[in-house]
Amino acid sequence: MLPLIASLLLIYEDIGKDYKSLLYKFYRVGVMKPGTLLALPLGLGLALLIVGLTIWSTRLIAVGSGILVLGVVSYVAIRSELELKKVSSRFETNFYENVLRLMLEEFELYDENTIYFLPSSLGGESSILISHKNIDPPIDLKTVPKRLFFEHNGVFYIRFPSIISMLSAYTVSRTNNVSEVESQLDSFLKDLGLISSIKIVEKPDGTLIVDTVPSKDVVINDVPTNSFLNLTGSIISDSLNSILQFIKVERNGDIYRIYFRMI
Amino acid sequence: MGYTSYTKFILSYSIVFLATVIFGFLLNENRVDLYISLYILEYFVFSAIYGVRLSTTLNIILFIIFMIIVAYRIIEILFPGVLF
Repeated sequence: MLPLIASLLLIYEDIGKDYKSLLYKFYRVGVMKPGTLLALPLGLGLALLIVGLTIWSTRLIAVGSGILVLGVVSYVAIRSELELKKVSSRFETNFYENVLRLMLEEFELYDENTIYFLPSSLGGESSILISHKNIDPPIDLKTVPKRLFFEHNGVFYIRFPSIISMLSAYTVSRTNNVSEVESQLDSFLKDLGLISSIKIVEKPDGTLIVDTVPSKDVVINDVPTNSFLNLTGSIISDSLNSILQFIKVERNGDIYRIYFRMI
Repeated sequence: MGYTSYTKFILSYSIVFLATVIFGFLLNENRVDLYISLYILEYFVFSAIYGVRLSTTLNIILFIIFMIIVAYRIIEILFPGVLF
């Protein structure tokens, strides 16, 4: 009964609002995590079942067993939805990485390059700009042509939609606060199963330092196709509405330190 | 509202569960196995309607419970008095 009541309350609360998954919202806002969702009906259901068996009330047994089944089913449904979301996001990011890698190889931009992240306010959608050479600054980034491949002062550039445009289930919220960006990033990357923790520090000179402990098997490097780098840069750039230049990645044990510069 | 299939499934299942209990009580139904078999049946029907893929282990467990209940009822009809 509890999942039903919680669901109805949230429906009532969110009538007219646009979001995709009520169950997902349970999980995201931490109102009801899958484990909690299982624990509540399990406790109630078991209590009713035991009382029903003790005093031999078939009605209590029926309700208790029903709540138990409902709790387990709700838990499994939430877990399955999260798993499905993770799998589909992984598929989308793999597809994106492969397309971008092919483009970089095709235009021979793979070896030496500088990576910039442009917010969606510049040209309609958040994008990644990769220059052919390490030139600083290569171009007036606020007037970058909205073209896939272009040349400016003898330097070739590729402008590609950022990885967040592939992940249809996620939207970035604008903010001026770095701690809010950190919370968004934490939520995004944890949902995708990429990290266990993340922290962003802003230096007075406009440098952003991202310290993160990635999940097992997640690789972070300075290649533009790296989904972690791409996702992190795009989200920070779009949420702060600022152009971001990727500087370097350092590794110290399990902790990766990524440097960006706000332009 | 754009709910996912999983959300629709769990909402529908919760509502039907509630309806089953209410109607069962109104009809003065006291057979526990009937309630449990209905819960299981509703689970399979709604997961098929919404096309949600849930746990295979859970499906097998619920199916076995359902089959035990069905077998119990069949034995009771064919061989009355054999079972308690």
